[in-house]
Amino acid sequence: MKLANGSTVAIVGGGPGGTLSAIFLLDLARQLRLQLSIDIYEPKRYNCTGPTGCNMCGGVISESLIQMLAAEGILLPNSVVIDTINAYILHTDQESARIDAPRQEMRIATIFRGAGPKGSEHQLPLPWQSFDQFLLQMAIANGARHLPYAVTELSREQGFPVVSCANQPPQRYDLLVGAVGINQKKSLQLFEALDFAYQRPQTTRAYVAELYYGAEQVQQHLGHAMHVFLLNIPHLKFAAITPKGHYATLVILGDHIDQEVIEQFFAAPEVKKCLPQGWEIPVQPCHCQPSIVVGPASNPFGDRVVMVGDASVSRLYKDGIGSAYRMAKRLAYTALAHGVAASDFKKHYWPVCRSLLWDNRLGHLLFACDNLFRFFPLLRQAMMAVLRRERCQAEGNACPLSSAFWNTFTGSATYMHIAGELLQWKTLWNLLSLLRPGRNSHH
Amino acid sequence: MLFRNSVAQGLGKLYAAGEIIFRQGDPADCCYAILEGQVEMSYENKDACWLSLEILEKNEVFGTTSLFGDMPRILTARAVVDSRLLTIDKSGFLQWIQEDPTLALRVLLSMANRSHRLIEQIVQLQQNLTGRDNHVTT
Repeated sequence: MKLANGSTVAIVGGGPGGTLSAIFLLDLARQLRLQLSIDIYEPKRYNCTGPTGCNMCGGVISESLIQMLAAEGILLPNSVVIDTINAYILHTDQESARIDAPRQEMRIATIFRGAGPKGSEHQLPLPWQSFDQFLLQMAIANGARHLPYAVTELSREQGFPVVSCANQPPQRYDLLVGAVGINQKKSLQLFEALDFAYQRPQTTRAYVAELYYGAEQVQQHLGHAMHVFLLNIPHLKFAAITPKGHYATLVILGDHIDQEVIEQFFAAPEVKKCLPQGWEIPVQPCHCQPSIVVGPASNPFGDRVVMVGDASVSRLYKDGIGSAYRMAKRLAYTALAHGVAASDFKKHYWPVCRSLLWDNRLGHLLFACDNLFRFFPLLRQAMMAVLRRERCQAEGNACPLSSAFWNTFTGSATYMHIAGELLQWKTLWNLLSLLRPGRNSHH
Repeated sequence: MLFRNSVAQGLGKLYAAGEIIFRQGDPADCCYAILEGQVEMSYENKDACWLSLEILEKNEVFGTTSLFGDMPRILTARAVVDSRLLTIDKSGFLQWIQEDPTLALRVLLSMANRSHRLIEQIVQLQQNLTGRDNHVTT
């Protein structure tokens, strides 16, 4: 059961998981001198502003993914890169600490998944391009076919997957790739109803809003830094404000994020410092409450069918697009070098998902430790003091805590790597030595 | 709302025309992808004479050879025009190559192509030298 010359592939979902799968399948097929026919089913129009044209996320492309894409020859054009980030500023209710990029270079991009925030259509033509649209166009340029239809049914015919859409004849394929976003409930149901016992991953809700500041105000109040808030607000786990050209993107993670939590967040003095003076919270900003993956899917593959991206396994909280990239690469390699039977996916594709899965377990543990910093002021003060001290001594010295925070916020390293940095004797000694009351005051 | 002034300054780092990116003999801890511009790879001999070997264009990745086997840089890289480059860390690059056979294949292909180009240059140089010797003899 292997893809051969003339094989056909259906990809349901035209987000990064789907388009990268198409790009890598076509690329490897070309190197192997095989002709593949790939259809991408995606009804969403990325040239629409607001949530209808958007795949709803914070829109940050991690340092590691930017490097991996470049190594692969995929360069993001300036029209797609809305802004760049070279520092993170960590705000607690007492003080702030800046963590600069290890290299003085712009290697994190902020992007719009769709055409832009709701309301920006009044300025047509927009000077930027959707990230998802860019990848879709690249897949098409590589030879994939974009079918702008919603899939209505998935079935089997003599063991081959069949894709049906309204007013279209059903199409039989050699391989079916499920690259549906976690917010596409109907499409996920279709895969769950197919015969490979697939079950969608566990999710929680996030809150994402695009706040219009204007370019000058964004530069003045945010600069090229992502502002991360560890505040002691009930139900709030993590919040970040990211510069995005004329906009600031707010992402809030936690359980039960409602209007009250959002108002408490905006009322915090540390947050107000990141807002333009006299700026009022818009009554209805472009916002969404997308699901985000916090647990893995069950049985993400079967004979001639495989799930990729969020619908399979995704890195906890950060770098979902990076996870989709890794899975899409491994999927292409498995399907073309080994085969498309469930046993092939289990042997060659599943290890990538499994390593993400194990790493996420460690991630859950690290985020639980994050609560210690939030709820114990003494520990929080010690942490901020260590970050300040590392910044002062940064030239030529190892900065394990800053590096651990950098990697956590950017999603640039595995949680295993981050745990290793946090457990270094130097980090622990620095924290413990500052834990005595009075030792960690400002100097 | 006005979106006329773009604030995006682009990814990577800017190198001015003529700026050295790395020198022959420098330790190698990264490779580079050319986002914009051109980069010249050259060799400096004992008499401090520069031999230009190739000009690399947008989308090419260079500086990978020294990453394998902990070698110092064997060539000098210089921006020909104002260029924007993205640094790719050695640790990540080697890890991705181990995890991803298709990336390893891409890197091998790129190295093979570059090696072909260099062999062609050597052959051409040898032919030129032979032609000059013959010309001198006659």
